[in-house]
Formats: sequence, C-alpha cells, structure tokens
Amino acid sequence: MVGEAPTVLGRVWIHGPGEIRVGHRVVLDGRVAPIELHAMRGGSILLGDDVVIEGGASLEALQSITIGAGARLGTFCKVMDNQHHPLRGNRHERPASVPLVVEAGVTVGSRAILLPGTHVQQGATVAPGTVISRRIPPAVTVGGSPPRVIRREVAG
Amino acid sequence: MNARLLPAPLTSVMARVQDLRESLTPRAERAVALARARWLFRSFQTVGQNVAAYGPMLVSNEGAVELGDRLTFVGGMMPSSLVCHEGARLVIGSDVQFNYGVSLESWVSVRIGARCMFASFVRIADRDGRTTAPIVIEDDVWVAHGAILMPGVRVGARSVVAAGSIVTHDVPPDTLAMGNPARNMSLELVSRESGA
Amino acid sequence: MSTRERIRGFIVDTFFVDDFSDDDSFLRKGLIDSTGMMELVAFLEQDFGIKLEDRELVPENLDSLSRVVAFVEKKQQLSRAS
Repeated sequence: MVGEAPTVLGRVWIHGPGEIRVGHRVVLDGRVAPIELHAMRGGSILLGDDVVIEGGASLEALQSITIGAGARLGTFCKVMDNQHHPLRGNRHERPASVPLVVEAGVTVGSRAILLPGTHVQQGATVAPGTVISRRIPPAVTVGGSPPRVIRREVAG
Repeated sequence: MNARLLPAPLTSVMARVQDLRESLTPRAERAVALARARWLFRSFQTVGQNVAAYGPMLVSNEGAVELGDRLTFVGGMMPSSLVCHEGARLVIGSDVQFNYGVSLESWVSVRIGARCMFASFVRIADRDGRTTAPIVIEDDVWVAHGAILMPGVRVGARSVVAAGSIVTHDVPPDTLAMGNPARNMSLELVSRESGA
Repeated sequence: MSTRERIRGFIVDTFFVDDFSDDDSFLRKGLIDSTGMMELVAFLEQDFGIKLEDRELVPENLDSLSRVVAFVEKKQQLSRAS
C-alpha cells in the first residue's frame, strides 16, 4: 500500500511476500545504489509519512520494521529485525525476530547498522557507522561501536 | 484477459505451466550461477565443484587462488570482489557462503577455512597502507554485515565477528569480536547453546 | 553511592530494565544482549578505572549483577595492591 505523492529516484528493489506500507510524500532515493525493501513471509515494513530513505539502504523484515514519520535513513544503512544466524550451534537455524522501531523525526546516518531490538525514540540522531540493538532515548545523539550517547539535547 | 473467462482445461494448463515455471526458476538460476562462476573464476588455479556466483563480481588474479567445493556468492546491490595480487595467495575452503558487496583482497596471503559465512559489505584485505600481514580465518567463522578485518588478524574456529566491527587483533576460537576496535568476549557470555 | 548501586543505575538507565534481582543471569533473562555487554564493559572500564582483559569477559565474571560487583571489587583491590 502506497500513500499519496511518493517520490522514487533510481532503483528500489522490493522482495518477498510480506507486507510493505508506505505513507504520504515518502522519498526513496536509490540513485547511489538500489534501496532494498525485503519483507519476508509474515514480515511487515511500515514507512510513515515524509520518510526519506537514501541509496543503498537495506531493510529486512521477518516480523516488523516501523519507520516513523519524517525519519531519514542515510546511505548504505542496514536495518534488520532478525540476526538470521545463531551465534552458536547450528548456523542454519533461524533465531527469533525482535520488532524494530524507529520513531518520528529520527535521523540515521549512513552505514549505521540497526539490529533486532532497536528502538530509536523520537527525534534522536544516530551518527554514521553506529551499531545499535537497544532502546535509544528521545532527542539524544548516539555514535560509535559499542554505541555511546555523545550528545543530549538541552531541554527548552 | 481475465483468467476466469477462460475455459476450464486451459486455466488448469496455465496453472500447471505456472507451477512448472516456479519449480524451474531456481534451477535455471542455479545453472546460470554455476556457469557464471566458471567464467568469472577461469583464471584461478583451483576451483572446486559446484561453485556458484548469483550476480556479477569483480575478479582479478595475478597470484594463486584456490577455491573449495560448494561455494556460494550471492548477488545484490553491490558486486563482491576477489582480488589476488602478484605473488599472493588466496585460499577459500569448502561450503563457504558470501553475501553481496564482500571485498577480499590479498597482497601476501588470505586463508579462509571451511563452512565460513560472510555477510554483506564485509571487507578483508591484508594490506592497509601501513602494514602488510597475512590473514587467517579458521573453520565455521561468521563475519557479520559491514565488518572489517585488518592485516595480520587470525580469527579462531567457530568465532563470530559482530556487525560493523573493526578487527585489529587476533580473535581466539569460540569468541565474539565486537566494536571499533573489536574486543573479544566469550560466546558463552552472550549466547546459550541453542541460539542467539 | 556503592559499586552495586552505580552498576545497577547504569543498567537501568541504559537498557530500560529494572525488574531483575542481583543474581539473575543477564543472558538467561534476556536483559542484556551482546552489544549491551560491550557497553557494560566500556562503562566498567571508564567509571571504575579498571582494565578488563579479553579472557576475563566470561559468564563467571559478568553474567549477573552480583558477579559483576564481585569482579569489579576484586579488580579494584588488585590494582590498589600493585
């Protein structure tokens, strides 16, 4: 399902039988490299209104990925709600998915990696190259690997 | 034309053709992938059985490359690259899987064990502009999305390199290497035997 | 503030969990994942001025609040002694 006035530039690849919903005025700019939206069986990707996704970004949903209104995802960022392989034991088993949420107004830098369990709250900024798998409080900037809060917005 | 308007026998024929096509597509893709691998890797000294490349790749060999059996190179938004410079060695064991955008470059020696898995955008090069030292990756290693292995690193058997990590030191067996620069922790600390 | 309170405070603030007892396994209760464990290690090093070796990152030292506290106190004693 696609909302009003979407903008698609370059290539956008849509894979899998899962559900993909796109809000109003979404911009998918796949000019640098294709954008990959991969919703597998039973998985859903929800893009809110005014979301901007840049080239090379890859979203893989086995259960649920939600991107809030006005959020921006930079080039080559990876967003996945399943690790696909267990850390130990039989690598061909698939571990459980953990829903992934990026709230409204979040900016995700290029090459950032959002792993299962990520919940970036409203207005937060994820610096380029950051690796996240937990909840990030609203309006902070996180960066690095392991991630650290590198700036807090001063209230008021 | 609406399928419902067609006489019954014809729709059943169409359904059967559709089924046949769906069952044949993976096989056709597999055949193409095997043929593509044979063409791409024609300059390699050894290539094992059933090596498949599911997308375009950048391949350059001026040294010695040995590939094991049943390797898979997945295609995707960026081509993977295999580069082996003059006098260098690049050895990959059997049953190794590569996702798209993987970059492997050997100036002296890169060795990869059996049953390893390399996720998208993994970069492995044994020269970084300052140092040149061989890289060894033992069996059953999983290197996750976007990780970078620096020259001189040895990754032990069954270890995992976490997504986005930059590995600058050796990783012992059964270890999770994570962070920039990567630190090693016991897999027992973060994973139960059965899963993640 | 005691060592125990500081570490518990960090875990509560960072991972948004507070329903756990001192002896609960972080892994088995799913309180902290692998990325989180790296963050905990970085916090311990920075806040307590200790250096954790790679071989010390094992469940015996870090898999519950009481184990972490015991481990940190042992490390602090060792660094003071030397």
